[in-house]
Amino acid sequence: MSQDRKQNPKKEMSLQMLEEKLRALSNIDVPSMLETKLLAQIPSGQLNVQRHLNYRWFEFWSWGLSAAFAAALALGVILFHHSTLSTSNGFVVDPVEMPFSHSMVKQNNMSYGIMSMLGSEPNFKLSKEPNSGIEKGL
Amino acid sequence: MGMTTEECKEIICQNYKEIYRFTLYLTDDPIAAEDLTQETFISAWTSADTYKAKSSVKTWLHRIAFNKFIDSRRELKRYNMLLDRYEKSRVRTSDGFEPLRKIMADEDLGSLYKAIHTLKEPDYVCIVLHYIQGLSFKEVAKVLCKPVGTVKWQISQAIKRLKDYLID
Repeated sequence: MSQDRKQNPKKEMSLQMLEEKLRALSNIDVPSMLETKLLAQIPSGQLNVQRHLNYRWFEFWSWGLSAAFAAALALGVILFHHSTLSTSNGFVVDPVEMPFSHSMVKQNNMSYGIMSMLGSEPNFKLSKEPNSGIEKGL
Repeated sequence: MGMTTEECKEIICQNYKEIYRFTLYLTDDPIAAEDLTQETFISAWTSADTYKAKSSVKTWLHRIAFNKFIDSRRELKRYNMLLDRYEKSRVRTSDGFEPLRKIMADEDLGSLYKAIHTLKEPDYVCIVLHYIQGLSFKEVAKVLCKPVGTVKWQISQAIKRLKDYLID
C-alpha cells in the first residue's frame, strides 16, 4: 500500500485534494432572518417540562394498573382453585368458610382440639353427599 | 428532556446553519431548505422528551431534518402530480438570495458541486453528511439508520465515482 503511494503520489494527492474540496463545499451563505425566525418559534420551556411530567405520570399509572390487574387475576385463580377442592373422602368444602388450610381438611381426621389450637372453631359440617357443598354450622 | 427557552436558544445558535446547509444540499432549493430547517426545529421542540442522550444533539437534529426531507419529498411528488395534471402555471421563485454564490464563483468547486449531483442518492447523502456536514462515520450511520460498515463502503464507492467523473 505504502509502495503504491510512493509510486503514484499524484493519485494520492488528488484524493486528498478531493476531500478538501468537498469540505470546502460547506462554505455557503445562510439567510440572515432565519435565526430570528427560529428563535421566535421556541415554545415556552414549561410546555416541554409539563409534557415530560404528564408522560411520567401516565407511565406510573399504567404500571400501577397493570400490577393491580395482575394481582386481581392471581387472587381469582387462587379462589377458583380452592373452590373446587374436594376432600379425600369425596366431600367438598367451601374454602371461603374454611378458617384453616385445605390440606388439613383433606386429611379429614382433624380433631376439634387441633382446630382449637389454631384459634378457630370449625363452623361447618361436611356433607355426606359428594359435591353437595358445605352445610353451614349452627 | 425538559428544555428551557435558554437551552433551546443555545441549540438553535449552535446548529441552525448546519441544518440549513444540510437541507439546502438535500433540496437544492433555498426556500424549501428554510422551510425544512424551521420544521426540523419545531419538530425538535415538540419531541424534545423523546431525545435520549445516546447521540449528540447535532446527530439528533440531522436525523429529524432527514426525516422531514423524506416526508416533504413525498408530499412534493403528490403536489407535482397535481401541477402536471392542471398544467404547470406557477413557478416558485426565490427572492434573489443565492446561498451557493461563493461555491459557484469558484470554477473547481462549481464543477465538484455538479459532480456530486451525479451520484446516486444514498451515496450523495453520505458524502454530504460526512464531508460537508462534518459528521463522523458513526454519526452518519445513526442519521441514516445504517450500519457503520455500509456507510464507509458507500462513501469509498462515491469517492471513486467522483474521481472518475472529474478525471473524465
